[in-house]
Amino acid sequence: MVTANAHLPIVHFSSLDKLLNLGRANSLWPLTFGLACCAIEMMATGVARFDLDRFGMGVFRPAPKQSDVMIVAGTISKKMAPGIRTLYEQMPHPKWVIALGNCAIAGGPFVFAGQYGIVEGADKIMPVDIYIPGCPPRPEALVEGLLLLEEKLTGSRRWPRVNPE
Amino acid sequence: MSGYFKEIYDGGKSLLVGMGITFRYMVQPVVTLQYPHETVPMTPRFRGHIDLACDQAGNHKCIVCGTCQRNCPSGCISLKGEKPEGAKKKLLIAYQLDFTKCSLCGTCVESCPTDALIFSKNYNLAGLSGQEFILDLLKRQEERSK
Repeated sequence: MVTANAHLPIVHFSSLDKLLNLGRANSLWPLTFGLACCAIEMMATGVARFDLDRFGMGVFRPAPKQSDVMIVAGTISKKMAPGIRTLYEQMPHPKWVIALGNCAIAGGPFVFAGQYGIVEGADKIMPVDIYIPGCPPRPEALVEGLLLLEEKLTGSRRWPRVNPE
Repeated sequence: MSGYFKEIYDGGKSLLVGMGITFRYMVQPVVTLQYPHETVPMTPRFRGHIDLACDQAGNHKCIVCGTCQRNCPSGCISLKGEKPEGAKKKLLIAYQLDFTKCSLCGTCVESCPTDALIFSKNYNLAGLSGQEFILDLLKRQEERSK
């Protein structure tokens, strides 16, 4: 497990930070990048049916320097891991990571004794804030994860909670 | 000079075509689902993580045969049974599902001889740690049957 936020900003402003976090929570720009089938669900969340723009999170940026949140959508192979780590380090602070799908949480169905190709979870190579299980998760689950990140930043939830069933 | 006016004409034309498409979509029915405010019901064959089914009396139907555990290709099911003094049948005392390794293949549900397993409709799970999704299905079943 990697420790979260190894180099946080040195200067803090108590009330201004809260205001900044409110702004950040409502404009989380994700990094455009998908690794496997969960990325298809991520694209489905971005377009008209579920419309991430309603939460200010639909601005998928093509450069790590412009993005706030990294959605690790899919299986991380050992070959891909250094690239993902580089992208993570290129993102400016403050930054957050969402592990989307079972592969990004713990390696998913690819974990077995003696496997050599898969990183068993995104939290092995970088700190992860939100975990969304599913194979793949539905778009609602990704929306729920982003709302949970919003809740983590601001300390309160301004959207209703959904209880399935 | 003729190229200049042609560019203005082409640009204006493509702008009108684009605005026409925008207008057509504007008067069509809205497709967006306002998710946290409104939801869609999951279809009968939707696959969430597995759950222990309840019968009419509110009990689960598991007989602790271990077929699901043996058949799971990812090894995410672990269950434990116990035979109480003088009883004929084994009793389920723990059923743990490691949902973080599951690929929802449904082999456990298919192979269960007593149809004790069902797919839940839990479609919007999200959490702050991966440990939250190692689920105790027996506890969930007891909570549901209350």
